[in-house]
Amino acid sequence: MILTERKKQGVLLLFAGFLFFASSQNAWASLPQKTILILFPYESNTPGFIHFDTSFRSSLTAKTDYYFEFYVECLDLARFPDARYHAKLIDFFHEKYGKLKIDLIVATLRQSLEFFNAYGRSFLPETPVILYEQDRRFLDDRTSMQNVVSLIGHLDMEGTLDLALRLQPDVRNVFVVSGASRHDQSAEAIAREAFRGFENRVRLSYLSGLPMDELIQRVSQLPEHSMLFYLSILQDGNGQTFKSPEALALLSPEANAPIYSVSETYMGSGILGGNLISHSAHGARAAQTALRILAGEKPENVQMPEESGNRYVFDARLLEHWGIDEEKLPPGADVRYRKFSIWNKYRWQIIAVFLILIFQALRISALAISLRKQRRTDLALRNAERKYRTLADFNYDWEYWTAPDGRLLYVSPSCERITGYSSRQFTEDPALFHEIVVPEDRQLWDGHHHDHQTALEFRVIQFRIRTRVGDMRWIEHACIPVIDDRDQFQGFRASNRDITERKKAELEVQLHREELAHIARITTLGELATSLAHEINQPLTAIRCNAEAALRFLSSHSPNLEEVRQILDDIINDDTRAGEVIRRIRTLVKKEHSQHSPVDLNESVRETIALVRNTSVLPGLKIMTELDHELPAVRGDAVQLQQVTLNLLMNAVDAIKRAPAASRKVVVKTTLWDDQTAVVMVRDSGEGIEKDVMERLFEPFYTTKGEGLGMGLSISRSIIKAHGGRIWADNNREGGATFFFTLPLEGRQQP
Amino acid sequence: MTGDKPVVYVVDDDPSVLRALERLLRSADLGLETFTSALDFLNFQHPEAPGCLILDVKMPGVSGLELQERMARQGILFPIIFITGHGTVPLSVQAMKAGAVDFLMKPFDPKDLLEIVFKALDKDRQAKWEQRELKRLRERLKTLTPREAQVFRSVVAGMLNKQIAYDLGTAEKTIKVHRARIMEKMGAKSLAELVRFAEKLGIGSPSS
Repeated sequence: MILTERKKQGVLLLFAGFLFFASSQNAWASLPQKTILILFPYESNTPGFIHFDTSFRSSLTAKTDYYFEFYVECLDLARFPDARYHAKLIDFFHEKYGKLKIDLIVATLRQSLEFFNAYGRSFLPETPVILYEQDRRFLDDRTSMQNVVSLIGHLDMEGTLDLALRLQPDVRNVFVVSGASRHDQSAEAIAREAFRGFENRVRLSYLSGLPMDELIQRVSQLPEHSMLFYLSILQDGNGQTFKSPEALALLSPEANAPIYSVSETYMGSGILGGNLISHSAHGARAAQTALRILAGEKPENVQMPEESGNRYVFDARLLEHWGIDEEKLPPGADVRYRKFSIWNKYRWQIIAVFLILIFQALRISALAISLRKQRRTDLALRNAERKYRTLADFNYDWEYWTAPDGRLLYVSPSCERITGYSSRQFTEDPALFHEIVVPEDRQLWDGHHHDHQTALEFRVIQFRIRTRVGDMRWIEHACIPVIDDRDQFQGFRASNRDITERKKAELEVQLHREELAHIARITTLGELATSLAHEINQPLTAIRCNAEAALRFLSSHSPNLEEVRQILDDIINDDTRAGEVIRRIRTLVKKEHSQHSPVDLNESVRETIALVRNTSVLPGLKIMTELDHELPAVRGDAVQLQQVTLNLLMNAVDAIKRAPAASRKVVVKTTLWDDQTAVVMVRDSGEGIEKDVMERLFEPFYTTKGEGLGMGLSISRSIIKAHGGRIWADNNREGGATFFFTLPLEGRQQP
Repeated sequence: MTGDKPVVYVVDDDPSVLRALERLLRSADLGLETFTSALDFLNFQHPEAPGCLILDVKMPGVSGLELQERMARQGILFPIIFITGHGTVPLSVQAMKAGAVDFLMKPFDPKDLLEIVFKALDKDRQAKWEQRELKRLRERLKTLTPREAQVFRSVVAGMLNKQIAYDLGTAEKTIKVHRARIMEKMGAKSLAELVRFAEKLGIGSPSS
């Protein structure tokens, strides 16, 4: 046989229950037994009584002092008021309980006590009685209270109506509802008495003892500003009996005004609320009283404090229906039947769950946002990468980046345009770069390459490469080390520019400059022609005359050979002298590319002066020198530097033409300008230079001479500038002018 | 007529040229004096002997042309041969106008120079001789009495004895005596010679 899961559970429960009972039985067996008879005047399933009874019994059984035996008799006196019935009932009880020892009787409501007093005292004279009554006003003086402890509640009609009027201050009519039974009438009587104080505030109407149909009709057509006050209906005007909450439940759906009442038993049956009597609370109090009596206290000695045990209880649904603000309720009021009872019960859990949900939702949103941001950043990065890649790729220059170990990370496509080799060829063959550098420049390149591994700084060098098809190109290479945020070396970024055209232009400019300088030298020599002719004619004349004389001496009878030897010596010397002049001229006339080498400025000055010799140029001219014999060499083109000195000398000679022959003096001086620079000064004794002339001295085609191109000083300036020096003029304090030019000493000049 | 050996004066500031010229002239058996500056030459006591001057045009201090002027002022009269390394036409014209014998451009043919030097020396010898004869005639002229000087002017003017006597209011015979004394005193062998003397002395020209 296969048991289902459910059946299994059932079997287990039964078994557990059996064990529990078994052990309890054992426990009870040892306790003193107490027998309690509970009397109730109406039928057994009256809610108020059930509340009381349940509370009373559970309170007692919770105590482990006694083992209790309960007997309950519901007398049903309302439906059976006949005295004969009462007599038969007593007989029955007598028969039923005659042999039992009843330790305590609990008489609920006055009718129970009266019934017991009337019929039970005869056979249970000593048994103590606890009377429970809802309100003192139901009692009368005739009721015997011998051996009775009374627990009296309070139906708070005045308090409830007062509260109702405070909750609904605009109410003008109060309809008090009660039935036709004796109890109903008693309640009505109490109400009429209790509400007397309200007659000046509201109109009180009593709907008492009406047939149920009529009553329903009435409560559904109440005037405005009305309320109902429900007391009790055990029997209607037609003699039909009801349980009071049931009667209320018939009325309340039809009523067009809120219903107030005074008993907790009506809660849920249609009353809005009130200061309600709690039968459960009284049940518990009755249990306490019972324990004291069972413990041996005399009933007359037991004084229970008068506690109403009433509570303010309201029906949330009806409060809402009638639009009554919960805020107006008395403090501590118990509001039941809330619509959102789950909310009330699990408010914090719900809030917690909700908060967790919100938190999670926020987290998810944050994640989503962060993800989106990430995507956006990725996109931006990709865009930036594309942008800079495009920039690099389309750069006209040939760019490359290296890793710190020298590996090529990137080579821009322009390398192919410049070198003929593709960027892949460069990245795959690290030696390619070195190989395409022309052999003459490889040392420069390798040196630079070595240096920049050790010194991290911005560098620019120029060198030549051989392209794939064999052309030569000039490259200007600039590289800069990349240092990241943490000062870490991240390799080099280099740019190679094809400067072949620029170099060509530079060479052309240099050629033009050289050509111009050459022309200027020729021109100067032209100006010197008479002087130079004289310089050559003198030795030539001497040679010719010497030779003629020698011939004559030799044809004489006794030639003086010693004389002839001297003549030949002189001829050789004169020839040398003429040759020197020609050499000087040829030096200045020859057309060569400028060649830089160490130049002794003193020698240069002497050579120049030899060309502008004395009187052959200007009568009375004295050219003096003040040469610093310790002056170190400078680096430069000897011819061009001599040209500058010659030019300044010629200008000086020109400047003193108008001076009297006796004071025609030019001084050429060489000295150190500072520890890195030499200076040549050409001082004349002329009239000096006027201010406006001074400003334009070095401009091309500017001249103060009748003849001349006006290029001399301009060319001199370009020569000195190309040598890294400076040229300028100044008037002397004692008259005349001085021209200066400086040159960096050998080994100290900038390339 | 003196037998003095002619002297060639050379002024050039270039010692090498100067030495070469000196040798050239010596090889032609010429006497010479060399100077490296014009002032040295001016300060020199010149002998009476015929001579000539070879002068470089451009020299420091006093130039060739300046020297030419100063010689003229001081009455130092030598034929001047200019030599120059870079002669120009205006320069040579100026020199020739001032009485230069020749103007040679360096480098020149030494033979040309020697030829010119000889010519110049001949010229100077001639000039020197003529100077001396004029001096002698002037001294002879001074020995004539005033009457004889008067008759001398009339004779070289071509007047007859009779005309002279009539003009002077004396006898023709007296004139004849004067005439003979004049011929004797002036050293003239004939009337033609006397007339040539008178011309040299600038006396009794037909125009005057």
